[in-house]
Amino acid sequence: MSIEIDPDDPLPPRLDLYSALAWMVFGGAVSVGSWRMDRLEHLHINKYEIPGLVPGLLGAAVLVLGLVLALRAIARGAFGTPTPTTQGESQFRTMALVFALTLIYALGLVGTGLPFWLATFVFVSVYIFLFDRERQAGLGRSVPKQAVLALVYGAATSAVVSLSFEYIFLVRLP
Amino acid sequence: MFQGLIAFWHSLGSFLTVESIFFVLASSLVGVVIGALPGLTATMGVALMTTLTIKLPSSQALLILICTYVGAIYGGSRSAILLNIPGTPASAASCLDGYALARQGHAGRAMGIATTGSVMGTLIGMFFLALFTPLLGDLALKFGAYEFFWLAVFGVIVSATLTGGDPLKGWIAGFAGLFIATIGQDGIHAYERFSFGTRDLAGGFSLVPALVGAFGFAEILVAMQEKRPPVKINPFDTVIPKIRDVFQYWRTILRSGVIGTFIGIVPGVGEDVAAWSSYAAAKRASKEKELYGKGSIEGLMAAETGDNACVPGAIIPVLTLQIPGSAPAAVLMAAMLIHGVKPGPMIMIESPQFVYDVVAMMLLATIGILIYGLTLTKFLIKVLRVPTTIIVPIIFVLCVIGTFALAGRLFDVWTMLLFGVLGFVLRQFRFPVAPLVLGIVLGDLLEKSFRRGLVLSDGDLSPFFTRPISATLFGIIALVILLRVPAVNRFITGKSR
Repeated sequence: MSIEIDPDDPLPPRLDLYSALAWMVFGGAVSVGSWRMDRLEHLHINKYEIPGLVPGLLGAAVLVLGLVLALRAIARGAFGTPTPTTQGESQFRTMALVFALTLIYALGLVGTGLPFWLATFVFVSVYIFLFDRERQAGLGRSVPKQAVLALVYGAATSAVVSLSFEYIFLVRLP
Repeated sequence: MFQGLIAFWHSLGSFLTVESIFFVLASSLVGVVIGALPGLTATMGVALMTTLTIKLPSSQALLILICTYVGAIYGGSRSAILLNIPGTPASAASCLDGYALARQGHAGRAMGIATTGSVMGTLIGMFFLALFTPLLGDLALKFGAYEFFWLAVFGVIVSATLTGGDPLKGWIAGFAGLFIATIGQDGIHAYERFSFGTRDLAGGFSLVPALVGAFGFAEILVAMQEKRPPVKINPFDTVIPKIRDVFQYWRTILRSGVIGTFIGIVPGVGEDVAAWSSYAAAKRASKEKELYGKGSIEGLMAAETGDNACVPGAIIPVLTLQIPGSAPAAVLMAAMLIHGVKPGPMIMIESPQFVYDVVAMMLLATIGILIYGLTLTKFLIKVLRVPTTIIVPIIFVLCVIGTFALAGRLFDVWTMLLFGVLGFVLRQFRFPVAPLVLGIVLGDLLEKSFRRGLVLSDGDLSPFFTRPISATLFGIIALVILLRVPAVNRFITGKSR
């Protein structure tokens, strides 16, 4: 359907067990929440129309499937294998920085009073400056030149996106 | 038959305007570029274009989305052939023989074969779209609440089972998606569920921001995680397809087109399965099996015909049952609903012309990919050289502003972020995202059908299992699940441990 998992790269059973426990908690919480939901008896509705019926059944299904996953992970040796480290430290740092920048832009800069064009200019420039450095250095470009290039990319993206959305797609920018 | 042809010509005529032709050329190009760039998928492309076309009239907006969809599925073959990296998952099968041909100095011929296969595949799928939609529409009129309930379950279960990986994890993701669809006011009494007093959440999660998050933001996070090696392009010859290849492999083209279309019709399966199935079938029937994986023209033709035939195939259940055949088709369906088009069993009664509009859009998209297939090679090579580190922030900006543009509210941006992070985390734990998304799409149908069915039968569950279509669907679902239980599978297939 779309980019999915690599079947040649199975996950250690310990991690499957962790995810199974998370799904069981989730499914259990949904089931309890649905059970405790108002059944609208004062409206004298048909008992098959109560709002919590379907979410409750779906929560129970997730709980049961989570349990099956947990049992399968245990059968495959979840308690016998050490907790795997899936990522190197530098990759973890990269991903943490990507998360931080994208969330700061979407939650902290856009829609909080800063003009959209300025928020976009800052985000794109900083992002490219930080993550394209290795490639730029490989091309023999100095740090000031890299910064200028990042600012050019940021300004161009900000201008094209802001103007096209405002004047072509007629969107009120955040 | 003739009525259908007349309706098709009428639809085609309505799109032969300067504005529509411009949209066809522009959106096919966008699709091809998105498809060619590794990490950007057809689903992301269609989702982003949905947000950009929200202010356009419905026919123009859907024309753009269908051209983007067809273009992206075709575009994936470019990076598969030139870089050995599938631009979209649908092109993974094309890497095997496409890249092998490129290494032998026949990259141009391979791209010509990909163009021929994609064009022929789309045309075969388009033929079946025109033929089967009215027939399936008639059948869908016999569907009641019980049948629609099982159809929703069927979509989630089959999608989780056939999209590769671990079916158990796919089922969990699918049921979680069905639950997410129930958040917000319920469809019968408008009672708020799991909204925790939040006004925005009372309306539930909007589908398009969730899709942009799960297939846009999550995919750019994955792209940042996987470092792409520097682009090294093999020299290539002419990209003009040879007529001889079409005549020599007509059986393969026809077979792959039929397989691709029928896999497209199966809810939630999609283009990558279509490509692999067509490739496997072609290999089984081939007289030159030994060439497969080493630069087989026939293998590449089969994969490319299969994945592009799947596109019209995936739209058939959207139009007739309101159930998507693939992830991009799910976005397309959401776009149809946003634009006031109501697909479903009544479509051949309420708006039959729309079905032929879609067929005409598909033909125009095919012309678009044919034009770019013959002319765009050098430009696409330049695009492929653009590094991920520059593409990612631009795509993310489009994800943010695109989701905001839908309704002008920041809650949609937050929804996109939430589903992006959720999609990324699920992928890290090897949970497929496609069943989750299909669950969100089908959740409303499942709930309404289940509750309506129970009310009609006064709590009696037997109609869910005794009505002919219901019983058939239930039987298939049970078989699909049981075949995944190792002991049952061994018993049924007769294989020893």
